[in-house]
Amino acid sequence: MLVAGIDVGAATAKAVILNDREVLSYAISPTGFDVVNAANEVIKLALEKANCSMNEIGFIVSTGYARSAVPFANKAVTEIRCHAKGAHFQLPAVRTIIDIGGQDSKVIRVNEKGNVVNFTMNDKCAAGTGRFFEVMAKVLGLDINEMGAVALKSSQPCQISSTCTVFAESEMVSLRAQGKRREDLIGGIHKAAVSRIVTMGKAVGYEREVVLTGGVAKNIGVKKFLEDEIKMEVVIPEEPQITGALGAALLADAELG
Amino acid sequence: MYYDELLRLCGYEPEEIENERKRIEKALEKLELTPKDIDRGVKRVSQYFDIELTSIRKMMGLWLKSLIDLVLAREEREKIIYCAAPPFPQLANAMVMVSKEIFVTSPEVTVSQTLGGIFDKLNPVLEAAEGDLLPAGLAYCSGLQVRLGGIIKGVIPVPDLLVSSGFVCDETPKLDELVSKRYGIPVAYVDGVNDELEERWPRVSDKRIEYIAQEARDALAIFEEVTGYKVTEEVSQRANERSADLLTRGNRVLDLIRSADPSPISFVDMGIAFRLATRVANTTTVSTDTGGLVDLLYRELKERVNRGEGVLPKGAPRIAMGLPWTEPTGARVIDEAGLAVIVDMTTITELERIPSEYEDYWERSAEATLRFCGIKFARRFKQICKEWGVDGAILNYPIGCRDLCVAPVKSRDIIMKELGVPVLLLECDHIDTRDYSAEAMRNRVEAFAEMLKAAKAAKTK
Repeated sequence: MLVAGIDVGAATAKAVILNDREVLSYAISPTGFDVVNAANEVIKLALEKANCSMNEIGFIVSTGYARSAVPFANKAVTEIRCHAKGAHFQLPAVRTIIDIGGQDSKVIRVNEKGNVVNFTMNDKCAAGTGRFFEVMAKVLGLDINEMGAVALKSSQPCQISSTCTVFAESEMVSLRAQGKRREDLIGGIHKAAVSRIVTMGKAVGYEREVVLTGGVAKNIGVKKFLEDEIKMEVVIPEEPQITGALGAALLADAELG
Repeated sequence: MYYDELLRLCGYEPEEIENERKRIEKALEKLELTPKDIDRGVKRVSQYFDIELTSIRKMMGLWLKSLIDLVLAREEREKIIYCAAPPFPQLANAMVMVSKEIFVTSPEVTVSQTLGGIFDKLNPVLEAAEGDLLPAGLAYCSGLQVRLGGIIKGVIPVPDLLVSSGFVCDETPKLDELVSKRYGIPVAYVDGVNDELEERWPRVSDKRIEYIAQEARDALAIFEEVTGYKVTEEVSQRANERSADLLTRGNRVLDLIRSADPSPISFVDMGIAFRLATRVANTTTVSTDTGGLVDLLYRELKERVNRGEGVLPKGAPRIAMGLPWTEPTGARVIDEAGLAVIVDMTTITELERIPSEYEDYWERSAEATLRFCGIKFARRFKQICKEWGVDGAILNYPIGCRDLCVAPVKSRDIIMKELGVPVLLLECDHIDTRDYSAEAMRNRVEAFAEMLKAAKAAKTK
């Protein structure tokens, strides 16, 4: 029986279709303003790739901020549980998940079965999230996908405030005016964001294996700075952006027993 | 009239509305509550509170009566006393007993519960305080902002005496000092430091108890000077008996909630009922009817339990909470996540169940009060989590609260490490909705609920 998981987040919508716990297809598309439309679009893309129709899907679990708005979902589950399930499926030895999404970041501790035992997440501030990187990329006139590689070239990352995206933006302008090297500015951005997440995660602690998920996991600079900060290897799944949707699909599969 | 529906919804009897009409209209005018605000109140009461329960409706009515009495107190009573909440409730309890002519209250509690909780119209009051001594963005206590803003806006009267205390929160006496200078009001300070050796808990240093008890007696002397009424031994005794009686009745409800599955009461309703019954029964209005309403609540909940009905599914995770919200949208998130709150900070009446070795009323009161703070709160909260067998705890705290901004973090560490009970910390202001939104909390609360449900299911297997 086919099942699907759909993760409608702040920045992107993701869908995964499973057949007997094997990934048949997945799709990623921007969320935009209309979350229902985003959900419809992304599931359509995934169905097309899997060459199947909605009628063949036995159960759908939705997750992400717009999980309750997905009209065709049978059940809504928080992304914390879905990321735990998804990451455990991708890497069974996982005990700590760092998920950095579009506008939130979480550190999730799981047990050997992939069940959540503790978690923490940002609440009032978007520093340490994908949005932080987006804003900084815009200030520097960079493609966000280039940032990680540039950050790795930094020898002296600049000191940048990690408490507020808006203030950090003005700091960037000021540092640039002081003639700081581009790679050190970008290194500073990575250091600030990572420091914010790592500090937040200390409330639940870090234990091997540490897995990095979410769209920001595609940034190789973040991985390196995280490893330096927590002094542990950080593993990135093959497609870190779909971990939540994958977990949702696995929970859908479990629903059908 | 445009407000009749709301009052009926809040348990007012028709003849009561007729008899009170003049006073109600005068109070609504002072409060600047328009027909639109009343409509919003009707919607919020219907949406967030359990109006199937007569006791809850009548308790809401009692809150409204308390608000009306407060607003009109200057023209109807001889003297008005504002007591800091919550440090020393026994003082206010005793003052309430001396005469109906003396209006005793903690105005911020009544105003936030009604103007905020029912009408969602607290912001003008908060903004009035922010334009004065307690500016925005500096993490001032929203409760104190309500008190100051209410006075500035003329919503609540200037009192004749402030009973202040700094041994839980240093911000309160500092504000009271400034208010005292500005309006020429005397202040009776019940003061002292609140540091205690952790290993001594639940006992408290004898010297500290004696000192605080003497401070209370001194405050009563100032009360006598201002009002002309004396709090005699007999009055203290009656206050003690009344307080003990309310605790017994409240504990009967708590014991029922604790033993019931499914849970018969929501967190929203627990908040409105227990703030009334066990912590703020020290206002003049509320002191009159509360016991009967608590008994009615017990009977109604008992009937639900006997029918096997509840407000949540059977087997819902049972949790201990920090502060109850006066603003229902946040509290509703806890209920909607399927978490059964069986105890919160205002329902921890078991503190008073710990026997005291002191015979003097004020020394016993000082001891009970001194147990409830700082590290001792963490220890007691752990004990409650253990005794009550909770599946988890949510500790919410406003960053502007001098006492609570530290205790929950310490409590979390103790409870998680020593009991293995999961704890969610929520930083949010339970009075000021500008500081948080229900939606911002929903994700974390739902994830926490999922975690507890999964753990409970695994245990059952």
